[in-house]
Amino acid sequence: MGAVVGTLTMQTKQRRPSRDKADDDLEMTMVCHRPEGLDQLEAQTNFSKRELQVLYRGFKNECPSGVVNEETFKQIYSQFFPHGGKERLCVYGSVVFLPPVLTNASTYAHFLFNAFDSAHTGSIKFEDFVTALSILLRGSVTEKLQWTFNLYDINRDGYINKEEMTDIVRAIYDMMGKYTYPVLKTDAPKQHVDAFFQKMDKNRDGVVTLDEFILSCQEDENIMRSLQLFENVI
Amino acid sequence: MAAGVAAWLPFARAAAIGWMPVAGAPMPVPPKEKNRGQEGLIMLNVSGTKFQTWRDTLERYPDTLLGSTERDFFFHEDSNEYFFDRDPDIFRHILNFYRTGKLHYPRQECISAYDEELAFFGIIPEIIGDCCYEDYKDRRRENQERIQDDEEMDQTNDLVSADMSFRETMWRAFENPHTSTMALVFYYVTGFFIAVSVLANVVETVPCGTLPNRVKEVSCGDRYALAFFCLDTACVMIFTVEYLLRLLAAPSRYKFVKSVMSIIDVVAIMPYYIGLVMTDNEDVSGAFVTLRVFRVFRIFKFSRHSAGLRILGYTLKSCASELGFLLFSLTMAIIIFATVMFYAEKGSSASKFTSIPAAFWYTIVTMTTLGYGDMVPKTIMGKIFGSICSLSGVLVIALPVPVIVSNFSRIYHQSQRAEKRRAQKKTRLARILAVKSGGANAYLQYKQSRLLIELDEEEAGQALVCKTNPNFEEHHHHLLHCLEKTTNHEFVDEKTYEASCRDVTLVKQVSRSSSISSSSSPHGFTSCCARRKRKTFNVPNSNMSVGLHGSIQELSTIQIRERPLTNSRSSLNAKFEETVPLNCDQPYITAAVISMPTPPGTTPEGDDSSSSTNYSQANIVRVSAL
Repeated sequence: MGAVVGTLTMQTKQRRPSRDKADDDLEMTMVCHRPEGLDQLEAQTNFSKRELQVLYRGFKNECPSGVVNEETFKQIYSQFFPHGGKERLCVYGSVVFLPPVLTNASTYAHFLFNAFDSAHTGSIKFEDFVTALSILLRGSVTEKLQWTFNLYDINRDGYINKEEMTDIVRAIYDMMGKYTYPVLKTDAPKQHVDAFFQKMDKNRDGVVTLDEFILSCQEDENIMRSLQLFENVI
Repeated sequence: MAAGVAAWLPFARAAAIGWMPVAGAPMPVPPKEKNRGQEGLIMLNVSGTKFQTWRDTLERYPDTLLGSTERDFFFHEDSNEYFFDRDPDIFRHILNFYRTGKLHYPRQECISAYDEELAFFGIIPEIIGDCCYEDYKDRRRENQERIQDDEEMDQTNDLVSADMSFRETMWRAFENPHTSTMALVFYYVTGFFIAVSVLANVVETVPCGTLPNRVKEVSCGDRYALAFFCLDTACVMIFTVEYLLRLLAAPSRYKFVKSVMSIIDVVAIMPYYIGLVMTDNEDVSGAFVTLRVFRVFRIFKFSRHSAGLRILGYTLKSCASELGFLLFSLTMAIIIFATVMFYAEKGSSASKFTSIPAAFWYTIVTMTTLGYGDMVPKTIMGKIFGSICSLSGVLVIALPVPVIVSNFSRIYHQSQRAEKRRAQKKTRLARILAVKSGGANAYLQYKQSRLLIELDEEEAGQALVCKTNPNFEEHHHHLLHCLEKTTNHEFVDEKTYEASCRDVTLVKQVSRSSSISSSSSPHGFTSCCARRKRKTFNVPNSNMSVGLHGSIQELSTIQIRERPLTNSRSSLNAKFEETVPLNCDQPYITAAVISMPTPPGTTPEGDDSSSSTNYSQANIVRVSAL
């Protein structure tokens, strides 16, 4: 008798946590965010109404709930870089299969996400999306450089140190994937970072400040030119 | 790359700004922006149902019809939309593919219609989403099987050509007994003798009463030994002859000898011959008796006569793995329980369970719930384990059986379906033929009317009855006419062609009398075969009427009477009549009939030769000549 009761109670106990989780998931998907009116967005950004319409349609198609969370963001970005993934298959005595890592555009996407999500809410709404795009596509040079500095400054302390830069550069190299020509050496990111610091760090104090960054970039012709590359993207 | 993500490309490109300061080298030049003035909505009109979508949506997949410039071919300028004359219901799914990136397969649509639409719009079916892909593949495979079955049937039926060698006819008669009466007779005779032989084998062993000077009862086989021997001989003779004939007629002798049925045949008749060879040899008589057992294999010869038996055999073959599993698990269980029972019953005295193999018998009998009762456990432990054994036996046997049953059911239904289709095919074909011949006869009418024009000007106007859609038909007929001129041959009716093939000899005997009376002797039409600048088969022409025996009379009456105009499609026979030049007044002939490439075996349902025709050319009836 006790066994019967015991099994019954055990079943109910097991069910409860999973039900909670299911409820949580339900709540997540029910969140729906609507952006501010079209006029307001037009005023706040440098886009025309038509461009905003096009942008919103693409945004809503991919994220019907109106917000992008980091997972979705990473997935979307990874689709542009199909070969960035590394499937780890460790063989040490016994064969251990790890699940293939989603293309490692995810590291860079993570940094991007943090840069877009300026309010650090954990999800990007359409307004955030459009604001950032407005800067990137229609902003002035200074604004663009400022945005890029924010991207590189992972811990938001106002300085880019070598570790942060190494992370960024490694993330960029990860997007290339395994099959490159010439073959990717393990210290390529480090060399790249060293070259970067050589150029940017004017007072050789090991960190790059915003002013150093903007100054150095403005001195470099290539960078200036490349900033204008994606202006007419929409 | 998924299409929806294409909308995020601007974002990805903008985000690339993060690489710029890190890059050491200058960036490549971006592609020129093409004139994107064509932005906006596209209107798609599919058979009246209007769909609208953004231009960009369609251009996500540039290698399909809608996404490429191919759609410009369907642009309809008057209404400024793209018009497709296709099924709107299926188009809905195709458009959704552009919108969502996933192609779904609706269950209620016919698989071939769906495939056609996909092919038209340039979409490969492999894109179908996971949710619907399995279903799609299953339906497709089913359809393929169906088509394959039909084709096989066609092939076997199409072999009827006049020039089949004797060997081929014989083989065909063996394989398909319903093709000729001789084959059917043979089929039933062999079946009868198989039954007789099996019956004789059975009755042989029945005790037949005692002989006057013996005490023991004798079996019928011993009592009437001679009679049974004669019967056996007769049966074996027939079987041997049959086997030899089959061997002779088989297209591939090696394959035939390897086939299961031939092995059964051989095994059925071998014992007799072996028995003949080694008579009265005491040593091997034991073996000889064993050989007699093989005579029972004759019963398997019935599988040629019964499709159900064949299906059963095929099922067992296809369920070999399930049967194997059943056997294996049973063996395992038998060994386990036999061991347990043996040790449980070891203690009891006078126990029948003398060894584990001896306990096998008990286990088998118990697990299959037979329970003969010749071996029964006496100890308590034995009885407990015995009951567990019988309970588990039911379970172990019940598990693989449904698999075998479902296999059998599937195969059986498939064969039933094939049978049904075959039966339906004849009527379907006949009806389709009738409809087709309508079209064929349209051509003949056209020719009639054309000749009419050339011949008799004032009748021309009336001759050309306004048909619906004259333009298309006229062009079509003109085309056929050109073909006739090119090849210097004429189209003839199927019936005529058949008749001509059959009665080639008759033709030559028919005198080409030029009786021109419309009342008609049957041979009246054979004369006046002077064609007007036309060469055609001599045979069909002169033979036309000969083949027409039954309908000659009607033909004559048709000549005179004015036929009412009807729109129904008449049968082939009727067509033939009206197109045969009916009146011998004119010195030219218009008797061309369309031959159709159809299997000659099926005659169209219309033997109602006097039924309506397609047009009321009283004029033609009167004027057209033989």
